[in-house]
Amino acid sequence: MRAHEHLRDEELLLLLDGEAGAREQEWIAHVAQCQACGARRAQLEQAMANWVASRPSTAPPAMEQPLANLRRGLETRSRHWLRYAAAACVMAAVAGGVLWNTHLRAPAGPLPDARLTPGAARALTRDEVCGLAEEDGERRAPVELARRVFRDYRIARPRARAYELDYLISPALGGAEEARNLWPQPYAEGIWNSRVKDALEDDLRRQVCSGALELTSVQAELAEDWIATYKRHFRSERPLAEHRGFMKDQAWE
Amino acid sequence: MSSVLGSIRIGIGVNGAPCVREEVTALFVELRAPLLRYLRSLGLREDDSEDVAQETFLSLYEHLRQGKPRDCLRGWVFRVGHNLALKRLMRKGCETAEFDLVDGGMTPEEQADWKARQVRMQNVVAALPERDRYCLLLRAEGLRYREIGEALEMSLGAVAASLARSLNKLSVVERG
Repeated sequence: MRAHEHLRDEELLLLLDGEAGAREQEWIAHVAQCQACGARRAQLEQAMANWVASRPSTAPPAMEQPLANLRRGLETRSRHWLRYAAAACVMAAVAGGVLWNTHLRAPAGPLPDARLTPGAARALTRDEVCGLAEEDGERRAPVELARRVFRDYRIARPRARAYELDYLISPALGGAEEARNLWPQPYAEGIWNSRVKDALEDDLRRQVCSGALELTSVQAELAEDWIATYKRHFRSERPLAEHRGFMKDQAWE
Repeated sequence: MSSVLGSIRIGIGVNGAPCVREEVTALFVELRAPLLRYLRSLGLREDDSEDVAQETFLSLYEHLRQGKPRDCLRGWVFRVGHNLALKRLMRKGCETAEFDLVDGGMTPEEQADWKARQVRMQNVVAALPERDRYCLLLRAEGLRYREIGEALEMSLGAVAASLARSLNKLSVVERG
């Protein structure tokens, strides 16, 4: 502001209320030097004091009963809040359950839940794997183990012939007969079903045994993502036509 | 008039969580008297003012429980009280109360002079535009400009300008 300009009344009032903000020092310095602004500030201050003093100084209203009323009201509201909180917890639990059952639970899909089925292999050499009898490579999981896997995947009553209890790393490729290497894979549902995986495993085994592929690499690839392995291996984004009807392992009944 | 608006206390529970009920109760003890005076000055009857004060602080409880902003709570309390009071006044039409202006502890002559001055000032205040009147009444209850702005949803500058207009008019009465 220029030296000859006076502060306006509202500016003086803001200064009196400590709300001049960034210009506070500038205004204080101005008022200290400007007699008119100093006098006006005093007038406004007095007028405000007169106004405040003019209000009736009534005795403070009795507090006891209103305070008790408020406390009762707060108590009631607080109980409502607890009820709302409890209801919210129940709803959250229900919603969580629905979410779990629909999205978060271990999926019984073309890929296993890595938490439940990370894959597991026996300590076998390539020669031992390639020397396995055919029945060793195609053995079915014992019933108790199969039930445990279905239980882990929260499938209470699996529909007959809907799943193949599949090994993530096939026994024919050294996969272990353990829950962490098994998952209920849709038998013929979707394009990435157990028939397609069986076709992949057969081809991988041939290549491992011919020396074209490393056994441990194949096991690791299958454990990580058998569909990605298929796409890389067959250079196809979709299952090849001859693999869609590939029949080898039997469905779970 | 003594300053009734001290610092706002925030209750802390044993587990460190804010005790909202304690906080609301503390604010009620601190702000009830000026809020009641303000509500009465808007024209509410004594019992209605008490109801509105209760409703205001129960709303404050909900406000705090929902984790809503807690800056400028005094302004918030007067804003909610103000709005509830206006609603109640609208419902009740013109059935408003006269605010008793007589101050205790005066001689009859002092009371007569004081009352005559009050009547003049009240006439000036009554003739003010609504917003200016509210600003002035809230300032009389010790609210800072920032709190008045929060209560009436006005900017700081607008509050200051409003008060400047009103003080000029009141000064005329004082001089006369």
